[in-house]
Amino acid sequence: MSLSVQHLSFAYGTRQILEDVTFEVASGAFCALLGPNGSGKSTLVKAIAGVHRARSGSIAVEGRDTAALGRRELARVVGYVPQAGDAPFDLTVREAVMLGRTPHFGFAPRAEDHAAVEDAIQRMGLSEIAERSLSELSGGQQQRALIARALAQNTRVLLLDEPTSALDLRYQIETLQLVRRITREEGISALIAIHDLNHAARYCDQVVVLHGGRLVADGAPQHAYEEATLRTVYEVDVEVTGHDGAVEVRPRIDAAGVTRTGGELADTAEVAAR
Amino acid sequence: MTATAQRPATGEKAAPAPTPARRREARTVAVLVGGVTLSLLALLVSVTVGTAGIGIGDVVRAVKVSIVGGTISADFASTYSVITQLRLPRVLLAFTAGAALSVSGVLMQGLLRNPLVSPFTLGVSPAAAFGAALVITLAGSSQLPAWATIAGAMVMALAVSALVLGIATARRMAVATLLLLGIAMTQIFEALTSALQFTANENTLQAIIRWTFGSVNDAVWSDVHIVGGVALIALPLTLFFAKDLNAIAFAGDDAARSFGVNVGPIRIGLISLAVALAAVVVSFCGIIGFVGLVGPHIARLAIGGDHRHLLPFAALSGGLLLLVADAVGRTVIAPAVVPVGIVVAFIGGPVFVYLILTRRNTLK
Amino acid sequence: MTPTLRSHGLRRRTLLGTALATLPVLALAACGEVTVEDAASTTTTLTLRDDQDREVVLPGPAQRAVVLNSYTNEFLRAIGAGDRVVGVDRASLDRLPYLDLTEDQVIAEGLDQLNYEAIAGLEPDVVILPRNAVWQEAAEQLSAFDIPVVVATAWDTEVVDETLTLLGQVFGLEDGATTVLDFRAEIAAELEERLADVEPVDVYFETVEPYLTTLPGSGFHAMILAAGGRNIFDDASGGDAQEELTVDPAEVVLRDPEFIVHEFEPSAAPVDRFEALREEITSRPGWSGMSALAEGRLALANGWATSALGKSLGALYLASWLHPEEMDGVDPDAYLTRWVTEFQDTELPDPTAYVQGPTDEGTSA
Repeated sequence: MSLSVQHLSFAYGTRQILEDVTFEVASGAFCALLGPNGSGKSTLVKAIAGVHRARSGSIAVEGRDTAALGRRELARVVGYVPQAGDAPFDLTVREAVMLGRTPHFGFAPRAEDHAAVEDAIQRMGLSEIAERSLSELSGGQQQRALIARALAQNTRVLLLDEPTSALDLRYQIETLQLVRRITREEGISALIAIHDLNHAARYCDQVVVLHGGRLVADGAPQHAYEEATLRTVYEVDVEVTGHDGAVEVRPRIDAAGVTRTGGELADTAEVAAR
Repeated sequence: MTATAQRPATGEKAAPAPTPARRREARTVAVLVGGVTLSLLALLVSVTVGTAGIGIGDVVRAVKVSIVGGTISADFASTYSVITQLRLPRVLLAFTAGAALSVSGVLMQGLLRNPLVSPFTLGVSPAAAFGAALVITLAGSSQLPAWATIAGAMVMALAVSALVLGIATARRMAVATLLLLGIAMTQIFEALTSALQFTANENTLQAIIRWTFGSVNDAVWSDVHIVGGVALIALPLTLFFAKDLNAIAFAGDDAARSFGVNVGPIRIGLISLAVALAAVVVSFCGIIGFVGLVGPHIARLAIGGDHRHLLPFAALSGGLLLLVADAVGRTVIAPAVVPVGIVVAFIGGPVFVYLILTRRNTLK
Repeated sequence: MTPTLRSHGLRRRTLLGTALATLPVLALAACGEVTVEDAASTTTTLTLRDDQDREVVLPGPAQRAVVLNSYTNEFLRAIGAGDRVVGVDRASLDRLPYLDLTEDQVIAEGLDQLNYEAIAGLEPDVVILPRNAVWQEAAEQLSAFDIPVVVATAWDTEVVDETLTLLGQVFGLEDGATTVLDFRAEIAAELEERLADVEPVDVYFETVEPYLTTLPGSGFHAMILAAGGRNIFDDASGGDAQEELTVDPAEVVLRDPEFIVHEFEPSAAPVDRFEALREEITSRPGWSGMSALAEGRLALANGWATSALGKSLGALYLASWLHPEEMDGVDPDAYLTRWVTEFQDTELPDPTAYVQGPTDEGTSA
C-alpha cells in the first residue's frame, strides 16, 4: 500500500477535527477526499503532509511510518499542493518549481535539481511560460505550476488540497486529468481534497468521504456513493444513478418541484426506506 | 488542450543543467562581484569626501603607514588623523550599519511575506531608541560606560519584538494586523521617548534628542568593530538559512513545512537575528529609517528575489545607500553636517511612497 | 566535466566572505607604530577645571579658539578675547553679526553634528562648548588632533561668575574677566541696595512663545526676584528642561499680574516687532480685562539686550519699571550702552530699538 492512514485523530485545542480516520490508497491510485466544509478535509491532507502533527494514529507511506521520518525525509516522500494563494513577491514559474527541490539540496541547487525542475516543467506543459512571472498566469496555469513543483519534489505520494475550487471548468478537468495521468505513469498515489462529487467519480479510482471528522465512506465511486450516506453528509436530497459504468450524483426534485435540504430531509429518508 | 510530455525512457540519465540556468547563475555572480567592486571603490572615494581637501594618494599613504608603521611629517599629521580617526571609522560605520539594516529588512520581509516591512515598521527602531533614552535618563548626570546605552537599546528592541511576534504567533495574526501592531508600537515608544525628553535636564535632553535622528558623526573604531562584528557573524548565518527563507517567503508556512522546513524555530531564529542587527545599529547610530526598506528593494531589482543572492546583495546596496547618504550629508551644506538619518529620509521617503503606489508591478 | 552549480555557490560565498572580511581586517591591522616628526614640545602648561569639573591642560593661554553658543561668544568679546575666535556655530553668527566672521568659519549648525575636520582645519588651541552640546563626543574626536575641549556654559545664569573666571583663565585674560565681573557686581549692588525693602510686584514673564512662562530654577525667575518682583507662577511645576512651561491663558488672567514682560529671541540686529507684539498681546482673547494691560504696564524686549550678561541688564530694566521711585537715578539705557559699546565693542544706535518699557508707548485703555 502506497499510503496507509490508521486511526488518525487530530484536535486543535479542545476542538476535535479528525477522529479515528482509517483508510488506504494503493500505489498508482487516484483517491478523492470528499466532504462538506468543516469536515476536516484540509486538516487531514495537512496531517499526512506533515504540516500538522496528529494526536494519535499513524501514517505510513510504502510501509514506512512517517512519524519515524525526519522532516526532510518526509518531504522527499510526501508532496503537498496547496491552493494557489497570493504571492507577495514575484516569482518565475521556474523559480517556483525549484522550491519543490528544497528537501533535496543543501545550499544551492545542483545539476540534478535543475534537471528535475526542467523535467517537471516539460511534463506539465509549462515550457513556453517557464520564465513568466506566476502572477501573470491564469488560475489554471498557476495550479499547473504548483503541481509541477510537487512533481519536482519527486515523492511517492501526492496530496492536493482543493486545487480546483477556484478554477474554471476547463482547468478543473485538465487538472484532474493531469493528476490521473501522473498516477498512472509514475505509480504515485494521489489524494485530492475536492468538492465536486461528480468530477471525483469521473476521474478518481477511489473516494473517501469525511463527515464531522469521521470517515463515512471508502471505496470505488460506484460502491462508495450511497444515497443515504450522501444525504446525511451533505444535507441535500440526492439521488445516485449509474450511467455507462459511471456514477452520477444529482439533487432530487420532488413532486412539488423542490429539492429538500437540511431539516426537511427527515421525511425523504422515510420515503426512500419504503 | 494541455499535454504532458512523455517521460524519456528510463535508461537515460537526467540531463545536465541546461545552459540558460548556468547562464543565469553566471550573470548573478557577475552582478554580485560588480556590487562588491563598486562598494570597495565607493568606500575609497568617500574617504576623500569632506571639507579637509584630501586626495586618494593621501588615503593610500595614511592607510599604509597605519598598517606597517612609520614616521609622518607634522603637516601630514592632521591629514593622517582626519583620515584614520574621523573619515575611515565614519565611512566604515555607515557602510556596515547600512548593510546590517538592509539584511534585517530582507529577513523581516521574507518571514512576514511582505516587502513593505522593515525594522522601523515593526517598532524595533523606536523601541531601541527608547531603551537608550531610558538608560540615559536614569543615569542622569553621571557618566555612562558606552555599553550601558547599547545594552538598554538592545534589551528594549528584543523585548518589543518578542512581544509583537509573540502576540502575532499566539493569535495567528495576519500580516496586515502585525503591521498595524508595529505601527502602534512605534507610536507608543515615540511618545514615551518624548515624555522622557520632557522631564529631562539639559544634558540628558540633548543626548536623547540626538537619538531621534541617525548620525555617524561620532564614529570611533570601537563602534565599527562592534557593528561590523555583529554583521559579519549574522550574514553567513542568514545565508545558511537562505533556502528555508525562500520556501517560507514564496510558498508560505504550510507549503514550506511540507518541503521539510522547520518553520517555527527558523522563524524565531531569523527574526531574532534581524532584531539584533537593527538594534545594534540603532544603539550606535540612532534611528535610521528607510534603509531597511529601500536597500532590499534596490537589491531585488538588481538581482532578483532568491535569498541566496538577495541577502549578500542587499547588504551591499544598503551599505552603499548609507555611505552615499553620509557623503551627501557632509558636502551639501558644508561645513555644516546633515545627519545621515535625515539625508536618507529625503531619498528613502519618496521611494517608499513610490513602492506603495506601484506595488503590483515593481517587484520583478 | 562542467563544474557543478553547488561549487559555484560556495565559490561565490567565499568570494563575498573574503571581500567583506577585508574591511575589519583593515581596521584591526592598523597597529603599526606611527610617530610624528618635529612634534612641538611645550614648556609652559595651563591647567584648569571646567564646568563639568574636568581637569583640562592647555599648552598656554589660547590664541585661537572655536566657540559654540552665542552667550559664550558674547562673554569672550567682553573679556577682550573676541579677536581670538576662529570658528563658531550657526546661532552665534546669526545672532551676533558684529562678530565679523565668515560663512566658512561656521563649523556646526547647532550644538551637535560638529564638523571635526573643519574644526581641525582651523587649527584652534581650544574648543569651547556649553554642557548641553556634544562635548564628550567632541573631546573624543578632537583628541586625535590634540585639541583640548573646555566645557563652559555661559547661558546658565547661576554660574555666570564662574564661567567668566574660567574663560579669563583659558585666554590668559584674567583682568578682562575681572572687569566684566566688576560691571556685573556693580549692577547687582545697585539693585540690592535700592530694592532692599520693597514690596515685590507681581510679574507675568513670557519668553518667545505666547503663554510660555518661566518657573523657579530658570534664569528669568532669578531675574524677576533680583528686580524686586514676584513671579506669579512661582508655585507651578512641571516645566521642561529649561524650566519653562506653557500655561493656560485663563490662569494668567486669574493671577492678575501687575506687570507683564515679553522677551523675544536675541538678535543683535534690531528687530522691530514691538508694534505687532503689543497689538497681539493686548488683543488676546480674555485678556482685555487685565489691569496690567489696561494701564499699559507691558514691556517688550529683545533678548540680546535683556538676557545679556546673565540677565543682569534685564534685571535692571525690570527693576526700573517695577519700582520707578526706588530706581530713580539709575538709567538702564546707560548700562546697556556701556555693555554694547565697551564690552561688545560695537555700536548701539538706539536703546528703544531693543527695549520698550511701559512709559515708551501708552496703550489706549
